[in-house]
Amino acid sequence: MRINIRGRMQIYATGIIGLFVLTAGCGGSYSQPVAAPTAPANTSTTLSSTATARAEESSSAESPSTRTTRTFTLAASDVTFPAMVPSQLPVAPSGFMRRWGVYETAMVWAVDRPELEFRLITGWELDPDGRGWTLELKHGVQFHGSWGEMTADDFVWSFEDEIRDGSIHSGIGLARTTGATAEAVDNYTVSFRLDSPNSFFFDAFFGNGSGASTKVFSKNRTETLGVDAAFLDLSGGTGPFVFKKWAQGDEVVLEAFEGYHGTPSQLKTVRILEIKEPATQIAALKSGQVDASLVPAPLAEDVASDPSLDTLSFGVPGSQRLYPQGQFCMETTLAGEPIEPYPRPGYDPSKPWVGECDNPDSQENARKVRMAMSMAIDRQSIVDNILGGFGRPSYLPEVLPPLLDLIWQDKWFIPYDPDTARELLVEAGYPDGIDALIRITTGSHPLEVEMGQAVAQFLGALGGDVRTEVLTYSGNRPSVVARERSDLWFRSSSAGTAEPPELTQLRRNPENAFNPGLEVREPLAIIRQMDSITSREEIDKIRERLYDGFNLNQWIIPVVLADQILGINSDRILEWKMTTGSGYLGDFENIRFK
Amino acid sequence: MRFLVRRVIAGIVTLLVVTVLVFGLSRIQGDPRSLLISEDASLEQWDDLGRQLGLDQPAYRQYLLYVTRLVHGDLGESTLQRKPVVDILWSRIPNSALLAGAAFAFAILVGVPLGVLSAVKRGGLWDQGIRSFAVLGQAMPVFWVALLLIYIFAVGLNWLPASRNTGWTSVILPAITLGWFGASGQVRILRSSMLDVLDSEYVRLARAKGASARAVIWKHAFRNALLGPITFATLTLASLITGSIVVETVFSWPGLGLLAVQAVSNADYPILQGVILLTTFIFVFASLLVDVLYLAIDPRVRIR
Amino acid sequence: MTPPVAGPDLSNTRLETGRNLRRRLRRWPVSSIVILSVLIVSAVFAPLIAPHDAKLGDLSDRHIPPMLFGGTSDHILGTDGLGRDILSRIVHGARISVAVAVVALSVGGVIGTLLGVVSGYAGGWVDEVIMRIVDIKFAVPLILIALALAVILGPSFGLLLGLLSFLIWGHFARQVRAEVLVIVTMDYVAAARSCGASPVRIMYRHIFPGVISIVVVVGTLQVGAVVLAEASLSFLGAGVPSPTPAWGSMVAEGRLYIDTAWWVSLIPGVVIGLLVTAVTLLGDWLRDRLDPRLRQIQL
Repeated sequence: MRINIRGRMQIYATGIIGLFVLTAGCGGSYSQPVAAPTAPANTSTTLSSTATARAEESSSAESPSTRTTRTFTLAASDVTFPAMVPSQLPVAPSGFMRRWGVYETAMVWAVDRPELEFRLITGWELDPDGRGWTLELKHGVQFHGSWGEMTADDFVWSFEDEIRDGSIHSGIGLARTTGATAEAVDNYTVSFRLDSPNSFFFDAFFGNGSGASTKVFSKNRTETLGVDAAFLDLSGGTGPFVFKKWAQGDEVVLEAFEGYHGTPSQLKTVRILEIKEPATQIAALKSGQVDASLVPAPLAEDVASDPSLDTLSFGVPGSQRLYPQGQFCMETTLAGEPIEPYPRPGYDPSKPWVGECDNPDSQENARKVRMAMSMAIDRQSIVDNILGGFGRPSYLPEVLPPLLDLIWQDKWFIPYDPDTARELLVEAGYPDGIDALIRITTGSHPLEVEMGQAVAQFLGALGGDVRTEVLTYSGNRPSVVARERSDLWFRSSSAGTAEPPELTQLRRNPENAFNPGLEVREPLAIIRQMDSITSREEIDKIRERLYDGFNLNQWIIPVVLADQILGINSDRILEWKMTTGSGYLGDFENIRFK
Repeated sequence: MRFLVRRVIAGIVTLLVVTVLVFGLSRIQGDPRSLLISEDASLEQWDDLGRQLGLDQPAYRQYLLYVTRLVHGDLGESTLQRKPVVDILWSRIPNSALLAGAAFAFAILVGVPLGVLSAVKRGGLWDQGIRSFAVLGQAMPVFWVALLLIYIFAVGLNWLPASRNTGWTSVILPAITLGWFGASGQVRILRSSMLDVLDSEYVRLARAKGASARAVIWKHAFRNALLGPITFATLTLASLITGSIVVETVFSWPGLGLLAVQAVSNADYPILQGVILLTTFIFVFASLLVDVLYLAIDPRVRIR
Repeated sequence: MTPPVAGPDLSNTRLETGRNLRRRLRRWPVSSIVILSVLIVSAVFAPLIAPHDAKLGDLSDRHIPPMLFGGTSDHILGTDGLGRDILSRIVHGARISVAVAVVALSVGGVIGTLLGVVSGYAGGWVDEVIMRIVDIKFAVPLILIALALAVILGPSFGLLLGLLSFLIWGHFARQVRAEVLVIVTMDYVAAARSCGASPVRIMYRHIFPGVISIVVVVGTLQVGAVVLAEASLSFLGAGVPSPTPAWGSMVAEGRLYIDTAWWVSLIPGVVIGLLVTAVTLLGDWLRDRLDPRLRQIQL
């Protein structure tokens, strides 16, 4: 029996929706979900062949009286990060706060079509000048823990708390650039004003796809308990589940919320257990201790051959890329504006991929080195051998919408050609290859370490000494913030989540605390331009210029897009429809038992 | 008595030195702000946070502040969880204690009888077999034994759970893995202690007097041979602490060892400091206990 | 030696020679010596013995089983997750283990012995201070410190050597000191002192030779501890940086595939066990030969 999961890519839909919104321009009120005009209906990238037949809805009765008292148990290798008041959030592996089914955003992307579904709002309206949105909030949304009903005050407060000084929320940059302000017009109406139209703002803050999405919390709770206590308090969300227990590094327990404003969940309890060793995760899956767990691709067959288990692929890959760090070549102005950069102790022009900033020959050599590294990697081999076919080579620094992907990938294709790579190195002055250290950060994909080591092996074949070091994302973060590094960083992103695009993350650099070592003027200037474009053709042209630049210079070296596989107990679970934006740590309300 | 007082003072000195070590560790790791600051923060906010955290103070002052807080039972707050370190440690101690207790029980229950048997049947087939087991037990790396046991009993035969604390069955595999090394050690130590005593004049005299073999073994030889293992006890404790770090990691056992490893990965230094201090304290305390036991058992020491 | 027996002299017959040889061999820890020799030879001549490159493999040769389990003669012990030949990695890994053991033992052993001698001979507050430091060393969970340092400073060979040397010097110091305390009470030392010999001369001529047997025994037994510690640190990611092969990291790398490609983790673990067993048996034998009094020394 096959279970189907479909997902959607918000990243491209961000652009498309934003454009649609802007070109709509003349406003008008939409009470129906917006259909993105060009996105094909069925582009779930079928990298695996497991998603074919679809279990029909016959067994999913919606009335609460049929709710099972059953518990759904999930194994995760990294159950971390209290998702409390967003502004207090410690660093998450992907800079991104999970919803857990406990916190909600204004809207979510529908499970099987590129449409937005309302959760906390019943309608939205765009101002004629394109610089403001008005949201109509849903009536009767109750907070967990009897903090009352959600009102516009709570929404405004949640937004402002996310972007206040000292918050480590990932949406601050965008909010600051656009000068966004929020106001409660009446109890159920919120109005947002921006300095200038911005195509990224809408989905970033109101959809469920990005880390910036505003999760609404009870203002009352924080004011009553105080910030510190509120951080540790488990109530205050609005979603179909409530946190019942949070034991860091051990387990998380969720319980269905009786007073939920929408379709209630079919489950009573969800338990998420932390099990670090993949072998024990799979042992737990086979023995029935857990109902679902991520399975590394090479073991998928082994799991699928077990009669009581099944495997599903997310269909939405995460990108794996190699950052050549240390490219700190910003000056103190960007597009004419003076900027105040952080100190950069990690700048080392002797590194082969960095070069001296003001020396065009040195920069050209550095470019050749990066291109050589890129050409030395046999991406298809990684996909075939390590990912077992669950993925594909990637030639661009971010995940593109599949349609555009197919058109543009050919243009920017990079062949696997170690001989040419060696020639390039000789030209650049490194006839014996390059010595390098690759740091592999963990927490996103079960096979990330192997992929990183494979990349190191390919680079080592060029003749130099290439070592690897494995650390968690948060273990690596301090040195990235301190701009201390000029080595290589192999970074993975989870599949099934909508990671904010690399490039939009870099838009506020170099003033931001965090920069992976990419402070090169050209692409950043282009990215900043994207903030205020208003036409579809413009966006495409600018995107193309941007990717041309990335392709020629390999400022970020893309490796592969890797899918992930979930092993699931098909004796017990009938269906689990996941939206993107949650990975597998959310959308529990969509689970149906047999 | 004076001996004990000296030992207590030595213990306190040890702990103080460890606080310096632990403080130094968190300082070399770099600027703590880099863990707390948001990705979009500006340079000004960076400086402000520095003042807030007292980073503009000289190092010795920061250290004194740290120690003062320690004495008052304040181990700080986890950078990751924003909860007091003491609470987090407290919640994990029962799990570690359970595992250590079970491992120790396994080591004693298996090691002692086998050690005695081996000494009594000296030179025979039993002796050789047991000695081989003991040597192998101390030679195989803990993590390898863990993986092997998981593979055989959990994945292969599906008899026992292989992760987390889900009930009494789940402590079996981790306890055996952890206690294996201790059991082997006990076998070897006990065997050589027993052999020494069995050969001694004292026992030969008892035998000559006509005491039965069993009486000789248990009443005389065994009690005197206990001195060896007791000395070994602190070493066993040290190996339990070190071993538990690897065992808890492989079995995802939610104890102090796994907490510490996660703290290192996540650069959560307050927790790491807390665990190091706690384990040192436990070790110092246990050593003191052993000294007291020694005093009680061996009259020769008392005279000194 | 066999006691003299009356009767025809058969000592030159083939039977006798065979029996004599066997009897002689039984006195020696033959298996230990053989295993250790093989490992040391592998370590020294690794580049010549290893059939393939230990650091670079071909990704398409991933997870080939050992020859006897369906593999090829090209890779007798199979390949790992990146297509690297396991036999070659084991052989090169021996280099790391042997190098680490030799250096750590030398540094740790020398420092520990020196401090032990000074401590035992000088007595007084010098003794107190040194023994306190040893106590502190034993009380601290070194493995956690090692992990933290590996994350902060990045894993390196030098760091590993430093940590392992630090791990073992305490054992030397304690055992040597205990022995020195005994030697110091001996008559010949008192005699030397009364002749006006300087402390350094006394230490050199009388004390050091006296502790040699202890040092040898402790040293041999600590080799096992060092190898196991290095393996554990490599397993946890604090050992030599990849792709340099080390047996502990090899076990760690294979643990995802323990169900399907079991040889990747199993074989290095067996080799570690063999080395430590051989060394421990040798140490026991040495201890029994040199001075049965030392039977109390187990580590």
